[in-house]
Amino acid sequence: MLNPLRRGLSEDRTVAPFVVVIFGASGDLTKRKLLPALYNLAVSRNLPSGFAVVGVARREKSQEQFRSEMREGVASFSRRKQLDEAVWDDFERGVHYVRGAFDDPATYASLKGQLEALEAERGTKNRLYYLAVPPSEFGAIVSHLRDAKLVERPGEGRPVTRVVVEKPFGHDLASARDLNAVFASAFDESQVFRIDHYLGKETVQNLLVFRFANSLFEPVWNREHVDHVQITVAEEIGVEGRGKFYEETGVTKDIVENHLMQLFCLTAMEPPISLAADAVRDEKVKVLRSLRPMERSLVQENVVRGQYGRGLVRGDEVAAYRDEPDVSPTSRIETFVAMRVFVDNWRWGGVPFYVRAGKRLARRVTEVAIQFKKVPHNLFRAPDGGVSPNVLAVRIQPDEGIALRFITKEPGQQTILRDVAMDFRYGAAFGSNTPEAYERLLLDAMRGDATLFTRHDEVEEQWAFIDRVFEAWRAEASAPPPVYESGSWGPERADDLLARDGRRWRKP
Amino acid sequence: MTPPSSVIADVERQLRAISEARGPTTRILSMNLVVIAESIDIAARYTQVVDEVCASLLARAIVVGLDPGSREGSLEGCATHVSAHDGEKDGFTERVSLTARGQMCLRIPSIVESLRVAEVPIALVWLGRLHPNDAIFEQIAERAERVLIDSEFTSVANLVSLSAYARLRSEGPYVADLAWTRLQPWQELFARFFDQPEHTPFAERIEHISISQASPAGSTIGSEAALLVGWLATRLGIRSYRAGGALRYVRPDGGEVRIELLGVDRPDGVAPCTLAEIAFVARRGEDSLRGRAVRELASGGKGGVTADADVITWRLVPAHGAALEQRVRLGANKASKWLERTLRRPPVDAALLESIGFAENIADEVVGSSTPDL
Repeated sequence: MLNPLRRGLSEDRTVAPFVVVIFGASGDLTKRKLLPALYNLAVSRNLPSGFAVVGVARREKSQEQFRSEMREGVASFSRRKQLDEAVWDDFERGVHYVRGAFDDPATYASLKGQLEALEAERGTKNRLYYLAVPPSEFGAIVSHLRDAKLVERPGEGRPVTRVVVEKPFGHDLASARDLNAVFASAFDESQVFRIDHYLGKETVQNLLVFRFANSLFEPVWNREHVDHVQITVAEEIGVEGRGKFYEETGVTKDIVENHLMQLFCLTAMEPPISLAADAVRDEKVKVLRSLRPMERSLVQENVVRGQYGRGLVRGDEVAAYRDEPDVSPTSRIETFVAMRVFVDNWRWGGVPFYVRAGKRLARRVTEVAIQFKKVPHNLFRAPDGGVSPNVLAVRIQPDEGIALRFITKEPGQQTILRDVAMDFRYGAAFGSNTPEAYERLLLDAMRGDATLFTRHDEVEEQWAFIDRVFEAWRAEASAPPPVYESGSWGPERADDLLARDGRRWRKP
Repeated sequence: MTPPSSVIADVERQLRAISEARGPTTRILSMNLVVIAESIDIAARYTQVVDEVCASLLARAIVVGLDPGSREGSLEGCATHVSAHDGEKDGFTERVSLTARGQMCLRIPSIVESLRVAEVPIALVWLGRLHPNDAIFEQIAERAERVLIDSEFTSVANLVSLSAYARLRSEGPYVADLAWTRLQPWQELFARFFDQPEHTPFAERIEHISISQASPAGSTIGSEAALLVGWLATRLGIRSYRAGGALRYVRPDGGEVRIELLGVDRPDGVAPCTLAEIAFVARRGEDSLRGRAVRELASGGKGGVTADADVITWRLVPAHGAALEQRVRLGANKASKWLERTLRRPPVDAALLESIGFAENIADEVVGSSTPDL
């Protein structure tokens, strides 16, 4: 039976009461992102009474200690600058801590006791497990949750159990399949929410709105009008103390396989039949399947790796990757990758997608740029020889927004052409205090809306594509990736990738 | 007397100067925010509110103060820029202020038409008592996407007549009410009483609802309380009828519902008729469900948040199991916030129109003084 009072409520975002169980509760993610996001949801009255948080971690600490650490985290990292004592006091009453190792059945017995107590006290039966732990822990946690009967399969009238998984979802196709199998052993796919926080960003969501709510752009969003597409995920920072992690991943697995490919999907996909989670995800899977496989022979021609050397970033001298702590002085891990990929379907046949991601680049910027074709005949004899093509750039960060470059005539007797940009910035148009990605995604997970989460087959398709690149790299002679200067836009060979096609990278 | 075209030309010159000072950048405009105040004084006082909203919505504001009773017909106008988001560099918009006296008031629709920005809709905010056959209102409203009033400061009757005016026109304008926007947290909290599947069936078996507002006993029900009753009744299918002058309410299953309207003390700084409490009792067989949301009037200052961001204690007592309690904070009670939120809401709001229809029946009810016996 539906609650009749929910009919027509304009801000219908409240969820049924949930206990959010965070595995890895003493980690940075919990303190910096998850608790501040949940607190912000409480401030904006999006959480019902009975809501609770149970942190699970190995470290010995009392409930009071845990609450105090979480309060400190919220005070420091919430987008709301001042802690609201009345709201925090109420929120804090629902915050609990369970200490234990993830591979110890006793941990789950304690957790079960805690959850039963919360159910008795607060009537909260629905559970959202958040795995803020390395993937190596997933298997143990999932099997112990299942064995301890802490997972309820979906069904009419039953309490809801869902699990949110942080990336990386495996390190190759085989491990991704193994992980999917681990989750499938305890959860139905509809209960698994693979989180990619990029999808919680307003501008990423706006890609769908921009493409499918404006009749202006969709007719030209194809091979007839688009010359090429560039997708850039550039960071100024280096590995920031995560040398050990980075030595096992590299930028391709850390960024390209997930964030960048999701941006690619939203840019290249066909219109979904609805905004239902599976309708959107079906289209994303289709476009991933349309990616031209990167055969071994194509990798050398279409993929460029790099590793940052010393240099200047924002005027500061920075160390080379190999000089970072916990990084091997002979490391061959890539901190930059650029690829030319093709989507073999009717919409995009022959249109190259140039994608790049890297650390210690000149500027922090994430954007999708659609470069349109030049006019078929140039009426204007500009001194520089031509008319530059229109570019539509969707900036994901920073300064989220959309810019359209086009050409105008300079005022005067002569016909002098000038590039100008129409620049729409979210912050300026709608204010900057918008909900953070984790707020939206946590709420969606509790509401059971999986549209902004990655499905198992998406993950596998992404890995299937990336795996071929790694196979080729492994087969290559053991040449290390070329070193690029920190503060540059990557190795010169990345420029060659486009130069061969008579194109060049944007300098966003 | 300066002809209106000269005043407009001056305003346009100022707008061009503002645009040139901004430099060669593009900008976003989302709407024309046209505010018509029934007095020059009200327009002046509302200007700060408009500036705050424009900065966040990137609207061109046209604020008009009218003095139709003046013998002299005159028009004055000026344009000024409004910087957005605490000086954030790329937020930038402008406000045009106009003052019309005497016969010149009738020319305001024509003047607004020449000063509005093309391609973006008009949101008309009418400050004061609204007469749908008012010549100024009619001419601007017919070009507007929506018309906003604050029925708490006029009356439910005013909202009813605006709604009737809009209903007669096939292409809008849509109707919005700031008092209705202020109800949103109360609607949310009331709906929350019935969110748990085991509690949902009780929504159809409510026997008693009590709504309290900050006003002396014997005063007329405020617009917010009237709309809240209208919203509850239309969601739950409750009908009203009069018996010997007294209002009675009946559920779809024929059961009586007692709706009690009460007045409570109004602390300093709290607006008249501010909603203070809502409570209910529902019964199914032997089981009962009771809920209450109580606003701690003027408690906001204690939290150090803002002067008027009060705390509400929400409490649900089921027949079985533990009582649930939650404390939530309302947002700051700032006029600019309510205007902005109202402008950001979807223009079509069927629930508002249905609630207005019901609220009309109870608009002249007075509040009692007893404490709710729930």
